[in-house]
Amino acid sequence: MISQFTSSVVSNQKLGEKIFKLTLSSPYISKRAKPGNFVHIKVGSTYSPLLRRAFSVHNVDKQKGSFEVLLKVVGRGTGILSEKSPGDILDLLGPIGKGFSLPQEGKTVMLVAGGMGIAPLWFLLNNLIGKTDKEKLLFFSGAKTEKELLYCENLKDLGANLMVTTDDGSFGTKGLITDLFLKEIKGRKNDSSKLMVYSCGPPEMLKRMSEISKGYDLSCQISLEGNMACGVGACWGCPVKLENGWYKRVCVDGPVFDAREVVLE
Amino acid sequence: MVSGSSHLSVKIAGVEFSNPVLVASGTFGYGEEYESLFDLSKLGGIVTKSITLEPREGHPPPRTFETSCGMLNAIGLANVGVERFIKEKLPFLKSLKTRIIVNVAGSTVSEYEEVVKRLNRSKGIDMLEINISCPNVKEGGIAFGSKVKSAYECIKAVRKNSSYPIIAKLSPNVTDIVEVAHAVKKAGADAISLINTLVGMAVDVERRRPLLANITGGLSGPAIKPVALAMVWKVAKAVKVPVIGLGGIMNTEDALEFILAGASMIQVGTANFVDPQTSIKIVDGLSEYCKKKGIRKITDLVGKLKAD
Ligand SMILES: Cc1cc2nc3c(=O)[nH]c(=O)nc-3n(C[C@H](O)[C@H](O)[C@H](O)COP(=O)(O)OP(=O)(O)OC[C@H]3O[C@@H](n4cnc5c(N)ncnc54)[C@H](O)[C@@H]3O)c2cc1C
Ligand SMILES: Cc1cc2nc3c(=O)[nH]c(=O)nc-3n(C[C@H](O)[C@H](O)[C@H](O)COP(=O)(O)O)c2cc1C
Repeated sequence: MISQFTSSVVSNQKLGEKIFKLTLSSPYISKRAKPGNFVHIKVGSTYSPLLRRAFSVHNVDKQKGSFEVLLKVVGRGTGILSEKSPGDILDLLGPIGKGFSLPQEGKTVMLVAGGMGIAPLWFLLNNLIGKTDKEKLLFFSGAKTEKELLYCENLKDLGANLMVTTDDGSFGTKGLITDLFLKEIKGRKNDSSKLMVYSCGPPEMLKRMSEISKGYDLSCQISLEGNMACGVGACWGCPVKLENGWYKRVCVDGPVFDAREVVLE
Repeated sequence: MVSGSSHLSVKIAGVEFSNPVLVASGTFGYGEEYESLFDLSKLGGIVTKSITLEPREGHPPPRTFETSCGMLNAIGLANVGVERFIKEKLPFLKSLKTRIIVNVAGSTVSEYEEVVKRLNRSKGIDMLEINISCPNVKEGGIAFGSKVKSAYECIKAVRKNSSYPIIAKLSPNVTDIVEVAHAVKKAGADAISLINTLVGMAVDVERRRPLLANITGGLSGPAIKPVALAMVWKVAKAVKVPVIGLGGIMNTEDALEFILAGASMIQVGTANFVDPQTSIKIVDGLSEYCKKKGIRKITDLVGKLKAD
């Protein structure tokens, strides 16, 4: 159930070039949020920026009653949020949306993150560790450059199951993460029904993931973004087109969709 | 049943409201979307998303874009259509202790008539708001509201068919709003609401493309408040019909400005996206204002702008 509440900033940590991790206190979110849910944050009290900004729940700490959002500064709203200090109060709506549905037992799980797409997948990964066989858990992480790669150190615990690309080759394989993913899928063509794929990243990447999923009939859940106004399903301002020609709302019908169901432009 | 402190109650076209604060069409869905966020019965009333005869899927994305102190939208009247509205959405609205105003749109006069006829048979509706002002669909909508003659004909046809009092919702995208207001009054409108959104657009200079797939959209939010206020003032002064004011109302002071300019009631639109509780904060704010200033009834303030 979506609720409106205030939350204080516990910490604000700079993780990289224009990338920040905000920890916010909220027992409500820490208890209720599921991987793939997001929060809608009121950035300030002035009329510019006016609308709330959406951020995936990046992780929760049930004991401390707090949760994290990972944000990249791309404009005014994210710029203002990146300057928040401990003790600052924010007005939030959340948790919003249908999250990822967790994999059935025995499936091989692949998480495919592009850039900031790691935000919701990190929460999902933390939910899977311990529940899913380590051998059956693969993490694909792609970024433009080494500087924009997040959590490589933490992810190394996954051992050989971590696959990394950078566009410029500054770390891991040079190229796109979707290419590396496709190679892996081709090698597993015969047991594609045993795979569960989860992905988040920039629009072009998710478009490619959708094409691959349709081509190989993969069970793949993607977390979408889009300009959003209300965030509660009322305004129909954030539609995604479906294969059947109709639309669904990214905010409450998503943001997680079956990659085979949507048509991305 | 409608309850509330009586100093805020208002009556227009024979319908009594517990307070003058409504939520605007298209910004509050079918009400159910906001159910978990506050007690909807505190509202004076809810205006639904525009309802058309058939379900509409709406325009391709992007449908919204934020601009300075406002936003553009080109939703394209996406809605469930009148049959599903009656079956799936109206029962919830009916269960609330607040007034329900169903907003109606169409591409032709006969589509408006048909929607109205089907709504006539349902219980639990208090009024209709006729959207002759949507800037985002090719036919209908604004095509009716931007010309005096077609606005008259559309409202006249709806008036003839409707068993409910009707509000004509006017477009600001006209040369002379007073002329249109006169026409819809003559056609039988029981009240007038204004304004719908102003036609606007935004451009991505990197990609040299419009930022809305529909190219143009409707501008709303605080950016349009001065325009809305001037239009409300002009219409309220010239036409003897209750006026419902909207456009950029964000707080109690904004609402009071519209009331002083001549609005009997107000609607909260884009502000619902910014803070879903804006409308009920305004209800409380108006109540406090009345107490503080020793005003017995909010209706005593309507049109009390000292402009001479
Ligand atoms: C469900 C959802 C989850 C998200 N999760 C995260 C997250 O975990 N971390 C993160 O950093 N960002 C996330 N985003 C994107 C984030 O909401 C936008 O980056 C933010 O709204 C931009 O605000 P701004 O004022 O800084 O930029 P603006 O000045 O508004 O715009 C700058 C640029 O960002 C683009 N943009 C604006 N709003 C959005 C949006 N809602 N989605 C995508 N692009 C947008 C604009 O087109 C423009 O190119 C998410 C978006 C959605 C819809
Ligand atoms: C996303 C959005 C959708 C809207 N949809 C409708 C609609 O379906 N019918 C209608 O009459 N007005 C619609 N409107 C217009 C509003 O009801 C209102 O007239 C306008 O936004 C100005 O008020 P505001 O500045 O308070 O939002 C819509 C506005 C927005 C922002």
